[in-house]
Amino acid sequence: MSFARYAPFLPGGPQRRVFFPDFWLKMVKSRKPRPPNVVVFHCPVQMTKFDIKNYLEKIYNVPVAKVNTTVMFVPIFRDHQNRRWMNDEFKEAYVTLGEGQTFEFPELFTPPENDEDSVIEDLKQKEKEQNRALAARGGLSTWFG
Amino acid sequence: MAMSTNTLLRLPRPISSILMKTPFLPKFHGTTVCTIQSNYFSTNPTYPFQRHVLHRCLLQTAAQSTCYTFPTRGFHTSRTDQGLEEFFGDPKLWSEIDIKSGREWLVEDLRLKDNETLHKLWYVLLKERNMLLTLEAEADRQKKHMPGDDRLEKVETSMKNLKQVVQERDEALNELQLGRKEKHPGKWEYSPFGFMHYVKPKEHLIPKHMSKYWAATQRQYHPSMGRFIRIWLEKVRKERWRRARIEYKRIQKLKERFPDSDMWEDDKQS
Repeated sequence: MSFARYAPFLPGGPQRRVFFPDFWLKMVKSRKPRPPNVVVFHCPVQMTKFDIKNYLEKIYNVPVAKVNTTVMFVPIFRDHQNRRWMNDEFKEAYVTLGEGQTFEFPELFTPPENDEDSVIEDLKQKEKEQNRALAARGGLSTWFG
Repeated sequence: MAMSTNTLLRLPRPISSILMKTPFLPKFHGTTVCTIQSNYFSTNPTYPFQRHVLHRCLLQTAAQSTCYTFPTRGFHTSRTDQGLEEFFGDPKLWSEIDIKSGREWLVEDLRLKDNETLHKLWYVLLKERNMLLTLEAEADRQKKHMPGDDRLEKVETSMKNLKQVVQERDEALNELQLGRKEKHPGKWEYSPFGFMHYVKPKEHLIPKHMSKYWAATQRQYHPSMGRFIRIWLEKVRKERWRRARIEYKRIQKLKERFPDSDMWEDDKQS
């Protein structure tokens, strides 16, 4: 996998630009408690600290004070045929936000208001009423007339 | 970028592909990037982030802002002042179980668009992909189903199509200016073992005539390799003859079996 990089040399020495950057960057919840101004990202291994800083500042307009990175160890695992497999490698970036900004990872997948239990209770209530109506007719169902 | 492999394909890959460096694996050559940059935007470099441009447009009068006019009608970008919240999208959709989405951007749609619009759309797609990746990672962590997981593939295809359209325009410009598709074409060269092969162009920081490293890496075809090539060609020729012999025998057998077939009427007459 190759990503768009700066050209090593351009005649005339203009400012080097990448017009279609294709680096991906995803925010993840940190595994252990960190200061509120530190955000954890996963990014491709080819991405440098300067890349991450520019990416966040220019595309997302987020002030960045410091970036620390580590390339994470991805373990090899085996399947039932004893073949060895490996997931894609990635780099973990710990970004310290600048200008006194803080960020908290939001809680996604919050359960909706009418959860399953209330729906089940409603159905049970309906069934009870139907049974009561049936008993009032002496066990005769409605199609009998 | 040359999206040769799907970046989002999260399937595991065999370890053999990593350890064995086969010659069939595509290698990175920065030339595609270079052509896109130098041809496509060199005449009219634009600031890629809309927020700054917008502010200037609003503050200046129409006469002053002639150099910053761009079509925004019918085109919506996400707000850049949201900051890190853009990694999570709309908070109303966080509790949704299923999210419906439309189709991806086709090549036919993108061909109608302006260069500048395509450039903006690229950043919209980039942010959308990051948002979906974040959502997917969080769903994996919580062991829940990711809502609207088909969006990821659609965004990926849209980005691929956009790249294709840009490359088409780049090639058209090259054909007008240079008379060929590639700005920096490769060439056919002899390998040190005497075989002709196609050498892809590669970018160098130091020019070839100044670089000692480049000169050291060059290995020329020595004429003493000629005898090995002769032996190899004999092998190829024998194999070719063998194939021809098998085919001839097959046809002879068919002629014995079906002598009245109209396939070999011309042979009989002559």
